Amino acid sequence: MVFSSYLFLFYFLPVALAVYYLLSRAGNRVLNYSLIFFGYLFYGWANPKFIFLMAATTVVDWLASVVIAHGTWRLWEVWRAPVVALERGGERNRAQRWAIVLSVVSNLASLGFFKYFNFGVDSYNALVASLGWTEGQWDSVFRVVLPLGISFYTFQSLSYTIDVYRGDAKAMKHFGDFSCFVSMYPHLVAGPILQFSFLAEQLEGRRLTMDKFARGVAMFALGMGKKVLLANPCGKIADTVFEAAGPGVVDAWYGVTAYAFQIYFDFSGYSDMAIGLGLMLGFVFAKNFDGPYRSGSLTEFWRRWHISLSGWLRDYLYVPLGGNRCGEVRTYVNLMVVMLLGGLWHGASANFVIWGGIHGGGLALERWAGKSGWAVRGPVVVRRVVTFVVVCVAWVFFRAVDFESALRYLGSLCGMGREEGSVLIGGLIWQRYYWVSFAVTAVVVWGMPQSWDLTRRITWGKFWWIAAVFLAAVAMLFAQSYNPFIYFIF
Amino acid sequence: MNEKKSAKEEPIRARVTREEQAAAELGVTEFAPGVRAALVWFFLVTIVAVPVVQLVAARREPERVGDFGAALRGLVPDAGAVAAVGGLGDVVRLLPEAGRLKAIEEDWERDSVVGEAVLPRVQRWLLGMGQGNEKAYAGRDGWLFYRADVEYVTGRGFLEEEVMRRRGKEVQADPVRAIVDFRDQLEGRGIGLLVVPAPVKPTIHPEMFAGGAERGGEGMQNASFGEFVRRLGLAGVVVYDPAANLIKESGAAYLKTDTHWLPGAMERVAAGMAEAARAAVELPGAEAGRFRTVEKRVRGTGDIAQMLKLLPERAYPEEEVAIRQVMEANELWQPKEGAPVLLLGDSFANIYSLGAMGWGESAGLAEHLSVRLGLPVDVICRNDDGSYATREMLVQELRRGRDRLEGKRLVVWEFAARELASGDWKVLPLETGGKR
Repeated sequence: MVFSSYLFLFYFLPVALAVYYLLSRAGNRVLNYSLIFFGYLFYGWANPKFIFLMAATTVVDWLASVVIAHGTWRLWEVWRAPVVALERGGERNRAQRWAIVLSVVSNLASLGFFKYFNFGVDSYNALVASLGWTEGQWDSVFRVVLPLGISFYTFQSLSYTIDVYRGDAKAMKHFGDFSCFVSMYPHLVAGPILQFSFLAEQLEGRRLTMDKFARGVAMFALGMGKKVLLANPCGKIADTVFEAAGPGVVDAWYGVTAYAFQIYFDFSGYSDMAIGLGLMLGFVFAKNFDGPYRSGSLTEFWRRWHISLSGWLRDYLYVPLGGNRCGEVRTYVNLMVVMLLGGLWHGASANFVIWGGIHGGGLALERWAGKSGWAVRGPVVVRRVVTFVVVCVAWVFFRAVDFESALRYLGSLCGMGREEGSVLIGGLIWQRYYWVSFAVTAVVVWGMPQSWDLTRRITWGKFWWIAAVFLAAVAMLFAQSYNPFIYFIF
Repeated sequence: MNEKKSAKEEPIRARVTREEQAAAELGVTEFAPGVRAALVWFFLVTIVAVPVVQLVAARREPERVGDFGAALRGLVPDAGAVAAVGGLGDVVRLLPEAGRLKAIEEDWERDSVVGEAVLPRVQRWLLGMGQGNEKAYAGRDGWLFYRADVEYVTGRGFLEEEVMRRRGKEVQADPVRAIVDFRDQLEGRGIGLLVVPAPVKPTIHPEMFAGGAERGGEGMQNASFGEFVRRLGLAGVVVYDPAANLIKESGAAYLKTDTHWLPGAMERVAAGMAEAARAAVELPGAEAGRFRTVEKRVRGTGDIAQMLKLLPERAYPEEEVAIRQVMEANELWQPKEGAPVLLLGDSFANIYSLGAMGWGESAGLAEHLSVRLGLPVDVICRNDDGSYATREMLVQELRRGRDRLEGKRLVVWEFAARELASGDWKVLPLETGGKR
């Protein structure tokens, strides 16, 4: 189910909120059960069969966490014992080590199978074909369908068992509370990726207040406006140019900038809606975007873009790899490895790896240049422009369907496009609706406060703006069937 | 030194800081008096109003507005099936298919009473901004264009390997393979083939789509079209591309708000086809005076205008055109099964011929091809899916024992050029009585 859909907005959400608030006096645990029910309904609507996969992941990770907490597989003997957080950095016994291995391997195996099986088969076939051994190709009829949101909920689930193992969080005694953490519909399919230690207390004790609900409404409305009114028209521009045979240089830059806007407002709009829904349900989620295109370096960009993923990669990958504690060269290698894997997390394709490589290389370069580098010394406007251009070039690999298409598009950016049908492309993408939407989006990117900051103090003037944005987005929803969230496929 | 180390190894503190920041900034919001309640009520009333209006409308007009609960009730398995559950596999089988859920969601959205009221108004505003919708693009001076047509012209070459690969294994994306195979099978029965890709509107009228575009200018065909014609030529397949014929004449060749050509343009194409047909195979001599034409004026609403779903009072005006109906022995023209020529065609052939399309009848491509050839013509036509639909109909007839190829000298295969990029070019065996 998609937040900006007729079904979610006018049927699912009113019923889910009504049930939730009717049960509000019954305590948080009952509320958690209602969230589990609606979470599975929300998730299963896309493909009911995949609810079993999510349920299995939840059960395995919860059992592993309990084993880690008690240090034994004989759970029936410690069932009633209180659960306490383990000592940070303390010794772990054999059962605990095997339990964390089970959790990590099962999550990564399911992610790997569903996400990378097709990629593996295709890569193998391409490899043997390039070696001239076409008989060795595996013409597999079996293609794996990617379960919605698997990258998000496996990472979340992993963060739980790892936090418990490290002693950063206490294991959840009640399966229902943990299941609620995994299946909560506001963040289920496209994040933000919530680290368990972040949400544990709220799962057991949160307050529903009018303040939170009203702020949640404001965040949700603005998020929906970002998605429907800004991201979608920019997406149409980007789709047209990226699918074109050979756009001209101006159209190519217009197209990639439109894509940069699309992916930002699509995802940050989704995150705002998730944060808003969380608030309506009494939860506080952390910020996921913080004006990333205002960054003066790639290092700053990654502090502002998809913060929950970069935080996850930092805490569960970069730091365990040694972070910046093992010398300069190792730091560069770690940065590169983290960004390459971050790219691969987005999808099974060489393009995502290249995208990660560009960012990893950029981060390493900025670190190498240090405080005397351009990334710190140059005028802020120049640094922002340069950073934005590098980010846009990397987006070409992220958006293009394959490597050859990406190269072709880079050629167009450099004025080497074939420009076939470019007059028609111009007629399409320079329609008034599109360029006005594009211009408004640019103003919002560089000239307006973030939804998070905008809604800290809500006056009557802001109320009317928020209401107008929401109603315009709803009206536009009826006229658009074009409504995909980019991050749903990751 | 210690401080430095601690800062480096402090991911936990950073996380807590974000949590504290979130709690501090989101948990505490300042509202002007009355705004908090206004926001909550505004939101709840908006999201509840739509299903309530739908419910009321369904009660008042059950014959017009579907019962949205019925679909949901249909998803609930019956008690017998639930009682028979013996394992996880049975439970999985009880779950509805994803496609069914998607269909229900689409039905609800389509049947929305509020959506029905809002959509035409939003669409009108979008048109004022120069924007159509998912299917239609607004051109200049009230001209409309079909999105798939424009994307066919501007998109990647349909013969590029990666483009064909992207279309998936379940689609046969190579039109050359299907056409050559079809030609070979026809040749086996001593029948010739003439291929006619009907040009899409943006190819002929780019100037009505984008300022700066010139009629007949470069690049108004798909990047692979030239290669397509070349490959067919090398394989010995005869192709008649009507584009040049249509571009050279000044004035409009296509309807303003429809995907198809005007009657005059279509007649010129029919003339070109007849010439190409006679050059391709030996056909019986023309029977002079067998057909005559009668002019008639018809009015219709363009198919692209209909795609915009505007309110009737704000819709695009109807267009009026003069068609020339073809008469044979004082009767409206009819296809003849025993004719030497069989036309396989899509909506470009059906317009002005099939009354249901709203642009008159007996004045279409087959009729005028017949006039230009001076011969009867047999016809198999279906709107859409020109890449395979008519061949499939032909194959089905052959399998049923009705040999529509009996006595034929030539098959003329007309399809919209956009099918080259989006159609499924199935290779279909022409089997009669189980033999190819």
